[in-house]
Amino acid sequence: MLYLYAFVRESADVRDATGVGGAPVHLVPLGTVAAVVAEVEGAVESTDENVLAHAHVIDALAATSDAVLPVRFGRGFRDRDDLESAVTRLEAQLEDRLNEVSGCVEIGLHVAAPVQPAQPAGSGRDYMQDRLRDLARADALAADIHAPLAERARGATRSRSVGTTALLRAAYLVPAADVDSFRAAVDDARHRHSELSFACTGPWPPYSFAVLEREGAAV
Amino acid sequence: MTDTIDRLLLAGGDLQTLARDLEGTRGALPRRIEADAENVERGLAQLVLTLIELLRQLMERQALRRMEAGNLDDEQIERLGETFMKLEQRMQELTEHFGLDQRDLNLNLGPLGDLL
Repeated sequence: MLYLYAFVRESADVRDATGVGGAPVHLVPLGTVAAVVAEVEGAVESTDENVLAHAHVIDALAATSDAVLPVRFGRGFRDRDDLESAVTRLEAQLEDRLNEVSGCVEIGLHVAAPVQPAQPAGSGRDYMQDRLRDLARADALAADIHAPLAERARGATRSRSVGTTALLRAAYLVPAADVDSFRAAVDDARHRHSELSFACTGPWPPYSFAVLEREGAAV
Repeated sequence: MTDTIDRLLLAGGDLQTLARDLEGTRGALPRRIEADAENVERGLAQLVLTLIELLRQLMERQALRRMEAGNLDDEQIERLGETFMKLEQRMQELTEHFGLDQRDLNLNLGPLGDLL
């Protein structure tokens, strides 16, 4: 089976990289882009070890080439024909995405609000109004943190949560040279909102920005 | 783990909350119930309560949206509010009973984000 790690530019260098189960990684050129794959026996189980091996290959690629589109763990193809037929029609989109992430890293941000013990409400209506107010407040807070950061970044994605404790879970696509100033901007937000918990991680390969639009499917 | 620590650019506040939030990303991988004799009850309770909490929050959201859109009359708002309020209290009692924390009921809903 051909196990898929990432897409890179056709000119990228993947020598010496080994992936899941120690299998050496090689390029399959598909026009201007290339798939980074390794030949593996059977299915790749989702063990911690394999997931980490997958991530290490992508880290190594990101360290040596300026544009990498990481693929989610666990994507395999029967053979080269199977891979080519699945990917060829996406070539233009992959190329656009590679250009977009070129020279950039991903910075992740999680912001959580303290867990508030529910205030007893006097009536059903009061309860509903309290909830509406909580939601509006959480939305406003999250927007206040997210908007200025998204403006600084080349791209931003945000996942929604149903509750109000996980206020913001976002990823920003930031030029590698701007990581320090971006971090300072996050620190700024943290000082403006000292009651909230912040965790900012990175730099990561641009996992959150490797999603193709077709069918909304992650590559 | 060194990788993870190397990549913490900045952190502040209650890291416990955030660590649990990160644990939620494991939801993308298959989860197993801790099935030894001592943990099985707690594990099952956690699973069941998580699902109930998901439904409760989704129904509440739906009701709030209808209320905002002006689709509910006063009596309906009062009745729904009272029901959700009682459900929330009951959920709190049950989580405490099984020695769980409200944050143990978090669930990664994939593209919908997190439950809590």
